[in-house]
Amino acid sequence: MRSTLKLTLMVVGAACVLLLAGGFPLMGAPEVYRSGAMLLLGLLAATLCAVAGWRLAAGERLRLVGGLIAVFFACAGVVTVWQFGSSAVEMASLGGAMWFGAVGMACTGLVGLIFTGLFGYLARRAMHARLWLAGAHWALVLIATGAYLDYCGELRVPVRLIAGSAPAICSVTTPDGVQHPLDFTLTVQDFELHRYETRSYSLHGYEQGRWQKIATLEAADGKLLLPGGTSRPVADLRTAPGMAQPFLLLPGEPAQIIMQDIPPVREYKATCKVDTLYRGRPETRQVTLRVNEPLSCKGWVVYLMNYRDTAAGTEVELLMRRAPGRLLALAGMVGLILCTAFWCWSRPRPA
Amino acid sequence: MILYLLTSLALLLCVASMAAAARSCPVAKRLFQAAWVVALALLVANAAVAQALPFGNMRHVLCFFPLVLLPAAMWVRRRTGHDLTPHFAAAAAFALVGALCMPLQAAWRQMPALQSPWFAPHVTSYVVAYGLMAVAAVPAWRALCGKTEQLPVADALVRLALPFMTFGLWSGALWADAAWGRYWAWDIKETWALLTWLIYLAYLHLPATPAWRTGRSALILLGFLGVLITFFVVNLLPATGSLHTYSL
Repeated sequence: MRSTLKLTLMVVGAACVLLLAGGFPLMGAPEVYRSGAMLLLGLLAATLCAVAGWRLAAGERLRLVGGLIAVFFACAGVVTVWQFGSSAVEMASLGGAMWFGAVGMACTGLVGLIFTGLFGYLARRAMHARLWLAGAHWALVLIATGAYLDYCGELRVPVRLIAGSAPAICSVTTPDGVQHPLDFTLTVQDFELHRYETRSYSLHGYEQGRWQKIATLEAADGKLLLPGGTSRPVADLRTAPGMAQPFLLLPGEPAQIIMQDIPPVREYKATCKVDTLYRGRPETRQVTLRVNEPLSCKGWVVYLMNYRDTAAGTEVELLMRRAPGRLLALAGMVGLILCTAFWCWSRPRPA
Repeated sequence: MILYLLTSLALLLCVASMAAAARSCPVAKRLFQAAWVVALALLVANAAVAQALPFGNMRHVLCFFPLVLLPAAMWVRRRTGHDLTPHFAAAAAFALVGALCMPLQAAWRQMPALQSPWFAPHVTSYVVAYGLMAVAAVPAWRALCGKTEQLPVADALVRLALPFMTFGLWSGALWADAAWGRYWAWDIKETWALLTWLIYLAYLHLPATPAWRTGRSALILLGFLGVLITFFVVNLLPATGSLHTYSL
């Protein structure tokens, strides 16, 4: 066995031991992950991956580079199909004059499809199992590089803004007191919350000085079945000022109350106004922030994280993030997924 | 009630398929195909109750296993030439027994973070990977017990499953980047998924020589142990405080 392979196995083994120590259920020590040992192991693993990738592509490095470029364009094609295809469907659903836009978007999506087919074919022609494996190693190097860049220079600042109020943010302050300009101004204009239209009921009792949930109640034929065999009509539940949901206080001791549960959240979104400069000219755009749909602007990524009802209105929690290695890491992840699949599933070349 | 009936029926068909395969009866495949049809009906019923893609809790996911294991068995037969129908039927039965033990959470609703295009492919790829890795553990165990001709079968299964596991792990990271604002949060579920992936990676780095036969078989079994911990232990332990609590 080669010495580098031995070292690789030792590094993987050591990483497994550290992960086990940190992720041991109930008694794990998550601080292990940010320890110097883990960082050193990561660095060693990335170096070994780079060496392995270099060796695996020996004599065919130009071919590997060409193949990876083709893979990149094929992926760009997929993204184009996805983005423009979904826009086309969205516009077509609006109907009327938007149909023209939908056709335009669909044509662009079609170009993306042709890109995917063409460059996918070229990548398949250029690459073989060994080169895909080399590509997988280089993808791991990309992920590690991105992760280290983020470890050194990532900025994550939670920001809370009241929806609909005038104050806008143009800079963020990290916990160490350093202010970072955003190069744009962000205002949360509106916030919408939608819940599922489900109705469920529960019985609460006053025990040990506080209300505690006793049971979830089944509803049948307009009646709620209580523990002990009795029932109460759902129509008896009433609303009252200060109570978010309909309820019914049951007679007797200890005190018990039937509450209609607050339905789970289906979706929440914040409508934001972004003021920025585009080629020296002021530009204003309105964007809708949703969970899973962050906004990228001037090197920052803005995430909608949470919301909270306060006396002043709905407080929207945003996360302002500037991560220098994010794109490298994400590109590495996509590359790793593709290269592993093609390496594992491609048939070996005839000798 | 209908959900439990369908789960039990699918389980019965899987067990019957295993029994028929043990007697080299040609009806084994047909029984497994019938189990697949019932599992499809179960998926539809789960979706109707949940009013969303039924991947919201462990019971939903366990019910989904038989649905991917039949195509996986056919694919393995085509790719490797090995007919592993009883192994796949056993894995499906194992998952269905687990599903029967889980509480029925009819009121499950898809929370905002789960409303992503990554949701279905992320879960599906993990189900395929875990199913294949579970099946791979059987020939690996046999190889460890002396039947060395079984190791290439296990190896073929691991090589089929690893891309799915890789997709599951890293698509999860891509999704987390959009939903949680970071691609890696060192959540306990993520950590165990990475650990499991690394064990299989270590396996692939071992030379395919007779000297390493025992080590390779042992690593496949160790990887399967990682799968079990990632999927069951991390989810079922009450005090882990995982970001993946919605998958309980």
